[in-house]
Formats: sequence, C-alpha cells, structure tokens
Amino acid sequence: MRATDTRASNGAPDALRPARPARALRSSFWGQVGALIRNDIVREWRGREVVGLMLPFALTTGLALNFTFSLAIEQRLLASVGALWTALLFAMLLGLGRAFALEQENAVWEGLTLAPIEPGVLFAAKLVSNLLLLVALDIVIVPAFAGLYNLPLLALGPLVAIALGTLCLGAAGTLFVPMAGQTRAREILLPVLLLPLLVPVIIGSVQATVTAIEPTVAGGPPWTGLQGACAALFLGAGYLLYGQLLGE
Amino acid sequence: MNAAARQTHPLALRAEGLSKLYGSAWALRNVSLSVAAGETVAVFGANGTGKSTLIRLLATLITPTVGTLQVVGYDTTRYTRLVRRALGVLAHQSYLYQDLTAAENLRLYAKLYSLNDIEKQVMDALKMVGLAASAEKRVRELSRGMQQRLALARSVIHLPAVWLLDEPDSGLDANGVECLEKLLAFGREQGQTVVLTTHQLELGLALSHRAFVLASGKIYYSAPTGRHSVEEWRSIVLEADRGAGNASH
Repeated sequence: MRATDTRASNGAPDALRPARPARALRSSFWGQVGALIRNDIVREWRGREVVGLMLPFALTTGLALNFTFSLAIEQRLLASVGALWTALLFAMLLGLGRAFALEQENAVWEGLTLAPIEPGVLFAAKLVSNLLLLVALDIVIVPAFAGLYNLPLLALGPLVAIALGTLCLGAAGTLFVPMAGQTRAREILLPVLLLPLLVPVIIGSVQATVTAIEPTVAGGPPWTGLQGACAALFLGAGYLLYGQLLGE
Repeated sequence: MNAAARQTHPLALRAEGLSKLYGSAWALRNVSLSVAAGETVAVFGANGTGKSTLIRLLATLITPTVGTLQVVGYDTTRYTRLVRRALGVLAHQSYLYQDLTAAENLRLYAKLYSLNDIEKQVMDALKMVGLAASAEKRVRELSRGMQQRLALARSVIHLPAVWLLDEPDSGLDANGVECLEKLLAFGREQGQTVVLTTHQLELGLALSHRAFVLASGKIYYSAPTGRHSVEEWRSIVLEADRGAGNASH
C-alpha cells in the first residue's frame, strides 16, 4: 500500500481504465486464476473438509449398494456402473455444496465478487478447483468400485467416459452451486435445480462407461458425444453467465 | 485534501433519489447526496436506519430500486466492474478465508487487484494495521479485533479512490482504534474519499469533514462536523431516532 500506486487514484475516471496491453491482461488473467486455485488447494489441504466429506459418502454408498445387488450378470454390469455414477453424483453435490459454504464463511464470496476481475477468472479458477476435488474423488472411488463390483474400470475406454462425466459434473456444479448457494434454501435448491439438469449427463455417463466396458451391451447413440455436448454447454454457459452471478 | 484531485473530478460519489425496497419495507428512501473527492463523511443513525444499506448500495453489492448512483463519474449499474476498481469496501463481515494466514489473504486480494510488488504491499498493509507480527497466523487464530484490523487492511490494500467503511471501529480495542485513525489520516493525505458509518460519535466526528444523520431510511440532517459540538450531534441523532420512532407509531 504505497502513495505512489496510482492504479485507482484520486477520483480520476481515466485512471480506472486498464491501460495495459492485451498480453499483460492475459498474464494477469492466468495469474489471478492461479492465485485463486492455489488458495483453494492450500485451504483444502489444511482442512480436508470437502474431500473428507465426499470420500466416505461415496465409499459407503458403493459398499451399501454392493450388498443389495443380486442380479443376473447382464443386468449387473449396468446396475454396477449406475451405482458408481450415483455415488459420484451425490458425493459431488455434497462436496461442492460444502466447498461453496466455506466460501461464504465471512462472506468471502462477496469479497471476491467485489474485486475488479473478469467473470471468467472466477469461473475458470473455481472450475479447476472443483475438478481437482472430483478427480481426487475419482482416484479413490473408481478403483474401489472396480474391486467391489469386479468391474474393469481401469482401462482407457472406461477412464475416458469417467473423465468426461467428471468434467460435466464439475462444470455444472461450478455454474449452479453459487446460484443455489446464495439463496436461503440452498440445501434444498441445489439438488432440485441441479439433478434434472444432470439427467442427460448421468444417462450419457452410465451408458458411455458400460459401452466402453462391454461394447455389445449398450449400443445406441454415441454416448461420449452426449457427454461432450453437455460439458461444452455447461462450460460455455458458465463462462458467459458468471458475470450475472457476480452482480454485473 | 488533494486539491488537484478535486479539480480533476470534483465528485467522488453522487446519489440522486436513491431508494431501496426489501419486500414491502423501504430500507432507504429518496436519499440524495454528493461527496467530494478527498472528503471524509460520517453516517450516523440508530440500528435499522439504513446505514449499511447505503454502504452496500455505494459498494455496488445491491442495486437501487429507484434512483441513480455515480462513483467517480461512472453509473454504478452500467459500469459495475469499472466502479469496483475504485472502491475499497469494509463490510460487517471480513471477507477473509479462515484457513489462510493474514499474509496469504492479503496476497490473494493483492493479486486480484493486479498490484505490483505484492510482498512489499502486503507487509506495508500489515504494518499499517499493526499485524506484521501475526502475518503467518491463520485468520481463525486471530482475535475479533485483529480480524477487523486485517479486514481494514484488505479493504484498502489497493489504495482505492473511495473507501466505504461500515462500522470500521467494530470490535477494535484502543490500539485498534489508533490504527484506524492512522489509516484514515494516511488516506486523507493521499486524497482518498471516505464514507464511514459508526455508532461512536466522537470518533466519527473526529475523523470526518461532514456528517449525515439517517432516520427511517432518510437523511434527517447533514452538516460539516465542526458546526456542532459532540453533545449537540448526540442530541440530533437521538432526536432523529425518536422522531423516526414516533413517525412509525
């Protein structure tokens, strides 16, 4: 804090205009994204509040469902993959909801929105942070489900389907969790708002994973294409709508 | 006061007929005010008279139901991001991450405001509020008063043109109040514009050039702080509160 810093000096409107070249602005964009991601990682590493919530939930769900299934072999594959995506979906809802609740302690989210940053900065940073959380979840849950349900998930095809589905969940969560999180009925509104929108993602992800494991079982439309389209939609909408979310 | 700044753009804030409706209740009604660049203005009033609503409107955190608002010549609803660059906001909540240290919090905001020489700016800000020794302590380990001082440092680390401070003395001990006075003196030297709300009349009057008294969401009275003694100001605030109470019955 120095007297010589004239970034926003003394009421002169022209001083507020960023007169920096495009390259400097781009570097500032990624610098700000990096700073936000770094802080999210540091906070999660210190508290482990989000991963510590998602992992036990997803594992318990997988374990509980495993004991309830006694299906024929051909039905078992679809049901097992469905259980995997059910666990990932609800763990995501819990985890990202909790992550946003932490942003609201001391109204930090409001503080972030007051900073003169591009809406895309906050969206990109929160998207990467959320994806890191979901990837951490995948790293534990996918091998656990592979073992519990005897599924060949650790091959390229299923992993691509899981990665695309995770991207969809992360993008949708990044867009909708702050929308629901700023309302009074956030615990109810988040699943009510998000679950119907994620129906195509879950159907696509289950079918894409099953197709990757056993190409003869599912067939039909190109399910990874559906996943890709959903990811593009949520990413595009998030990038475009985050300004509204920040009250601009 | 920075005379050059006043000549460049005489009004830091200009509100015309500003009103805010929450549900069916008017939190603020037809408030018009101008604050010159470099001026420090105190807003007094009992609880629920609209002080925080006024600060939140000026801070672009909420939009007016009726009326227009300009900050450094820019309409706040059309040029929100541009206006936010000029604002430093201290709200009732600290905007600080509990699990980050004092320095990490300031570093983050310094980065978001694209400041240069971030480490020096962070240390200068911490020294200014007397928290240099607590730089590596996590926010949750700091006392309420220390958190308030850190929030003050966070709000003005980018040396904004307009400081909006909602009860900046809240939770501060004598040392904290001294830090606040030093910080505002520094701001005045730099020609910054300050709008602050407080229940501490003596402090608000000592720090400000002009004061407004709010009652029931309206400006009840405004005058240069030197026009009345502290006791007279106290009577005006009490009278405003009683008047508002009677009007509401």
